[in-house]
Amino acid sequence: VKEVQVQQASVRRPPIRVVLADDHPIWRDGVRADLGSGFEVVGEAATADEAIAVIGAQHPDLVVCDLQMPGGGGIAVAKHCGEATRIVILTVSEQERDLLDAVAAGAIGYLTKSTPPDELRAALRRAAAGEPVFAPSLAMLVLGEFRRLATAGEGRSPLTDREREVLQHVARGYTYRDIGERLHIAPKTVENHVRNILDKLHLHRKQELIRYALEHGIE
Amino acid sequence: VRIDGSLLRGLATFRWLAWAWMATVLVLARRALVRPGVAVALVLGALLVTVGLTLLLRRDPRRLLTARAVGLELAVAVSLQVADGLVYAPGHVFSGAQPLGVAWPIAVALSAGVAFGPVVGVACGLVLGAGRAVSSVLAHLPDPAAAAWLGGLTAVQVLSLVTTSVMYALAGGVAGYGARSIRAAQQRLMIAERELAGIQAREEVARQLHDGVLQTLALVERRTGDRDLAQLAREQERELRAFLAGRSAPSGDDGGLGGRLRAAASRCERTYGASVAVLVPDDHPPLAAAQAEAVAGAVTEALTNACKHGQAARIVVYVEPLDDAVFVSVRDDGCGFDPTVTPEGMGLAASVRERIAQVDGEVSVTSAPGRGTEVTMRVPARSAGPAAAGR
Repeated sequence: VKEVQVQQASVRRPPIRVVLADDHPIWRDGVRADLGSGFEVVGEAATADEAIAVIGAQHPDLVVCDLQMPGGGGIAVAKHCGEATRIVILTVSEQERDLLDAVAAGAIGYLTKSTPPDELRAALRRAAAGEPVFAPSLAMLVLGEFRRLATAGEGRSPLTDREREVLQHVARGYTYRDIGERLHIAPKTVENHVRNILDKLHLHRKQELIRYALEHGIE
Repeated sequence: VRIDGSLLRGLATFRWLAWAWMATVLVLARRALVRPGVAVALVLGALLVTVGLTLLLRRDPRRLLTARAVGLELAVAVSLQVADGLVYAPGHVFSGAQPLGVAWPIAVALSAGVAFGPVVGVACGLVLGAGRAVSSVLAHLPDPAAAAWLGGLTAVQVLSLVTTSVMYALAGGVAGYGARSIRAAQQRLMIAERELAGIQAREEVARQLHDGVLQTLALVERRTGDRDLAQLAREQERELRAFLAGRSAPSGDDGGLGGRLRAAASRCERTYGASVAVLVPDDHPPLAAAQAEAVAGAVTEALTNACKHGQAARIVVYVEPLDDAVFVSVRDDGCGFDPTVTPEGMGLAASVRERIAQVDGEVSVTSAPGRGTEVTMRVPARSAGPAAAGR
């Protein structure tokens, strides 16, 4: 009964306007079919350049974007449009540092292509509302990245203990609601922690680039 | 093959220089010749061989290393050696003057070494030395004192013969040994190059497959209603990823924790059809084999329990390195249980606890009805000591 009510509630809202970017038409078809009635696909693109153009013309609520596409892929799209709209990377890549770059470039979420349709819909709805969505494998990558930062430079992880705890729970497959219950904090607080983690990742990647440029005399 | 080529080119150059030296000796010492016709014929014969082998080097260098080519050169070289005793007046050879066939025959000892190894090189050098010995006997034949075989030679002459033979033998041996080590080094280089090419090819294939086959498998996995087909696709995807990452197939584990856990996940997926994600970072501290085995066994138990009693559809196996330990979590989305009613979760904790206790680890189980179950383990990392060196 509860599920039916939730469904009705989501149907009553205006559909989420989505741009799909993937160089495989069959995948765009597949995702469009999975999205169902709560979403409206307002544009499709097969390359990063096409995606940037379509996003500029359509101003969608959400962009579902493949990581590897001709013309720079999801990283290029996130860099160009990450501030104007919400970008979720949907990819088969796992445990790749490319993903960190995509998230650092401004993507709000990262999901694997094996995510079942119902989970995908739920995650995209949350992403459209501004909530960062993470597959556990990305959480693991982010944790590893901060471990690397801690051992490489400052000696202390840039993450607070609470942030690390939240990230660990995401990597273990917990939802924000579960995490909130386990840590006795509101789901909204969990979400804020995740957003802070992403900001820190973003910042550190940027600092790393600047440090690299200084060390190599690039101006 | 490239290095053999440069060796053979060096040999050809040596042959030409030695032949020029021989021609010079022929002209300079022409007054000492008693059989000039034979001498000229032999020097021309050596020229033919030199030219012939040079042409062969250009056309088909591999044939330079055949028994036929080496045999022909050896025959001409020994003839030259033996003839030295006939073409000059008696006593010339040992009078300090240069005979014809000293330098040029060295080439065949070198060739034999390069072609057939140090032993044949040495043997060939000894044959040449024997040729010189025959030559000195022949040179003394008209002298009645030489009737007693080598008895007519002075100790200095015998010593000179032995020295020459040893030099020829050494030349053949060193050339053979050198060529062999160069070939071995080149072989290693080729293997390394081939491996590198293999890695590069795999990376290229990985890029291609990532965008094609892996996508398609993920699509099949997600869009088919057929559980068996989805499971097959997932398994193929896992194996492909293992191959692309340069690991052996997940079924044959690599001895490390990651390999064992991926193998356990594969078995669980095959048996129960659940989807199991294995997240193991590369930088986890090494566990002793017994520890890795205990963790893999405990994870297998937890997976089985999640599927059998929890009816889980999705499970995450997560490994995280801590400062002095390895943290492992197995979390499922199954039906869970009430720990106050079923304290040890249907014997789950018992089987997991037993294994982890054996390696001084700790286990804890969290569950609630309808909220899935999580089994967490913490195993102390192997202390850094001499035993840790052999990973």
